Amino acid sequence: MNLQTYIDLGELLRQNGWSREEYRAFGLENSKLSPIDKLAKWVKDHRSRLPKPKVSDTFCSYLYHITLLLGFLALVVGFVSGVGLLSYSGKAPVNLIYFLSVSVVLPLLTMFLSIISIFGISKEHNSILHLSPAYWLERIFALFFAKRGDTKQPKIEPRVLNYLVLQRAQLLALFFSIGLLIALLFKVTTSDIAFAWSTTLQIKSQSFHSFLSLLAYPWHWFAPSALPTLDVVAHSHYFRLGGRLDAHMIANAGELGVWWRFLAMATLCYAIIPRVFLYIFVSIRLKGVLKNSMINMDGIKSVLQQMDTPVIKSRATEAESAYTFEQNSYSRVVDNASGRYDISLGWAIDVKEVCLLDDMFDIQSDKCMLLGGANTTDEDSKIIEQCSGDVIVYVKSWEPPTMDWSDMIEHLAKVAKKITIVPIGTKDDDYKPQESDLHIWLRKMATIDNPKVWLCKI
Amino acid sequence: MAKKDGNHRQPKGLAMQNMTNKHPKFAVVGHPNKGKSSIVASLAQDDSIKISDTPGTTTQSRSLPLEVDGEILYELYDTPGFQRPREVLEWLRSHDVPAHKRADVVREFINQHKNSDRFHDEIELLRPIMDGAGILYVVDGSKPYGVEYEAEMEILRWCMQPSMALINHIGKSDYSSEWRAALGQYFRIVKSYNPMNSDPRQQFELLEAMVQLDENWREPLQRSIKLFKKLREQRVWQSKDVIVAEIVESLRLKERLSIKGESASDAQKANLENRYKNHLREIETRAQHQIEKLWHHTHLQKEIAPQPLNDLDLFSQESASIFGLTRKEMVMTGMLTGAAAGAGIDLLFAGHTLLLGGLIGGAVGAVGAYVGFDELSEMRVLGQQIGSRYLEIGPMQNRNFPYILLGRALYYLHALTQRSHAKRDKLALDMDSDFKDRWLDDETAKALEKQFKMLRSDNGSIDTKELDELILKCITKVVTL
Repeated sequence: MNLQTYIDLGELLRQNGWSREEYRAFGLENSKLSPIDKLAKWVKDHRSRLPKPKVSDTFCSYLYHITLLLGFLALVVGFVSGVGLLSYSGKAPVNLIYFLSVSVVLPLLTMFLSIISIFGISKEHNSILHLSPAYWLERIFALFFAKRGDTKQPKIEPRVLNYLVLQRAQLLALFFSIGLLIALLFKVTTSDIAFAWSTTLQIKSQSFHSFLSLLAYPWHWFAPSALPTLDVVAHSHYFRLGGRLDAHMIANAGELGVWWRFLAMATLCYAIIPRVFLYIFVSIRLKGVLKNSMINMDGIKSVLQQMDTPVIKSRATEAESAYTFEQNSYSRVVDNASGRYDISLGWAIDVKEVCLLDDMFDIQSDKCMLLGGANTTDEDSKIIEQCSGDVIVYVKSWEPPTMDWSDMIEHLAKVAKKITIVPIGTKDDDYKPQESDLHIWLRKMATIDNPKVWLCKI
Repeated sequence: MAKKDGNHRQPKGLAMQNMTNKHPKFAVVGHPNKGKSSIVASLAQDDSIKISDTPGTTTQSRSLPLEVDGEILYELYDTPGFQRPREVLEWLRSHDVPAHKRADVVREFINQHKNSDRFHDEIELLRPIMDGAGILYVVDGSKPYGVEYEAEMEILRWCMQPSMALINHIGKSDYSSEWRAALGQYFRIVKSYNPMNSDPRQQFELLEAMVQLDENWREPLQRSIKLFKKLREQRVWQSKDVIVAEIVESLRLKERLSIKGESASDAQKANLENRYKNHLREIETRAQHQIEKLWHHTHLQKEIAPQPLNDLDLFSQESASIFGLTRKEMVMTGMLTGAAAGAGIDLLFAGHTLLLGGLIGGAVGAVGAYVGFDELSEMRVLGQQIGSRYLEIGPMQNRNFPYILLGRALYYLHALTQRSHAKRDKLALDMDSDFKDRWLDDETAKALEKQFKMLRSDNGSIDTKELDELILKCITKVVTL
């Protein structure tokens, strides 16, 4: 998991060009991977779809080169600082307290600040972190983008950016300390440095030795020669007012060589080694934050869900073709069917009920007969052949007219003079049809549009 | 780049199973206008199927497969109604064949008439049956039985396929008993099923009954039931994500307006507030549409009510009183949340603070809730030093707003999940003032308040894990899984 994968993932999500099926197919092929590994593999498999130059490539390349450049600068600054601190003026010896301040106190202080800054790492404006020169790396980088006119800047979460700054801050500090150590070794090798310690504070040699022993605790057991003895400490005490070195010190100048070993070990144990550990810690945290940010990236939940959940479809694959009805009005409508008819017919209504309906609606007819229902089509034809003159046909209003019914009307119209269709309701409704059912019948009759056919709304 | 439409090639890993007879198929058949399409829409959870009170709306058989990762578990066929059943039956009966050969006669009928318009609808409905589909014969139990149905039932018997009758209740009257007596003579299984009011449990029961039609269909159908349950869970999860995203986006929304001069005029302030509110409304509408899509109610979105909660505006007093907390509830919630935070300090000092932490925290929380009850958001002029000034509003400071937003989202989700896919009428949302009590208790309100507070104050990245869990809990209280 690295920054490139993180940026590529964001860019791929912006493209949003994958179907539900593609996500699921990927999920099935990689079902055993953890969500984060799944995302990493998905990015790896699909990053070729990103337009070139890839934002991640550009970003990481610039970040790498600027880090390298600043790392080199930190090394040079460290070396130059070291040489400066260890320069022997020829008048006064080199005050090792200066060197200790830069090689031990300063790194410890910056490491402390780095650890403190982790507490507010999620904030966009982390003031402690912004004190670090490494922060300006990101600023310079932003300027680079602006100069190139590249508008496609990667979208990176503040805490990721902050960890990047923090990681690079450790790297720069490490290079600086290494430069300092190199300068110490260089100066020790190439010149004869007279080390001494000097301070305005009233510090006794015993106290200073105790302090040094405490500092030397990490290495005293494997490199005891890198800890100056109390005598050496006492002899190295330099007073400006005296203006010269202790006579015993000059006589035993060789003993003073222990100081460079002490400074080298102090730089190693308080600046370089802890910084390496802090760098590793921050790098591990950065990886964790990258993973966490990837999982919480906008739209990732949906992507993972689409990968992990089966595609369940219950919809028709082809479009539905449906018949559309014209809303024609039908003009041959009466609201009273009473009167004399040559025959009363019931469409799927038995004869007894047809006669009953005749009585109900004050209709006189010569005979009542059944059409449709359990009749065969031949039986219907025979009945229709007997019809002539005015015919009344009762229909169940709730049963929509079928083609079977249309066939019957077509045949009947050939022999009858006038056909009156009476849609009736159920017994429960006192044979009163529902308005919605009547509309259906009216629409059907409009499609038949036979001048002999009338509809009676009772 | 992959296309997002349905015509793209099936990706590797989701190999489409061939349309063979391996999976169960069911043809929903019957007299015209008896609710066949409604039953299909309800079982397939698809509101795109055309349903009309006009007979003959369905003119072609249409397959609706239940597909899981490209594998078809079962297939439903929506078919046109019988138009000339007596003629068809007479044709079949004119062939003197022993009972076990009757299906061949039906096949012969299809072959002979496949190019004729006269039996178009019958062929459309018989074809899937003769291709191996089980029969779901639909009648309307709210209308009296009629002998004219017997021709249809007899034709289906000739098909020699497993069959089942479904009594649909379109109207209020009940003629089920006479229908059951008649249907029982033709079908081994007769069940009542009302697609308009069916809930998931009834749909699963129907699928269970369909299992009995053929032993070979047991495994895929039972898997389908499990998958439908899983699908519902998935939708609940996805709805939760939509609602969480809606809340996060709404609470963190900021709106800006460039201004000239030192300060903003009242008109500019009103304009910005209006834009801010409209933006919030858009976020809500977008979330509603996403939920509709998740639950396959897109038809509702296209043709019926695009914004059913529009009548009750997001910022109306009525909306606040129905969905939000009352001032008293808000103060209590604020007090409890503040007291909990203060109690942490008391605990830290092992009670040596004389419980002042809890008391002060509670008081601060209560006052904050009281003051922030009506306030929408602070409006301020920014960019004074840079030169280009602008007026900014947001993020949302109104303490009641997230509850209103969440209440409305839950209500909408609840209404949609209750709605049958067979329904085509306008989604009616009967505002129920007791609805809030179903999902919001004191404990939930306290936990939600903590999350909303974090959302209001956090500018950086956010982790919505706890909010996710809370909202999922609320959803499960209003949506039956």
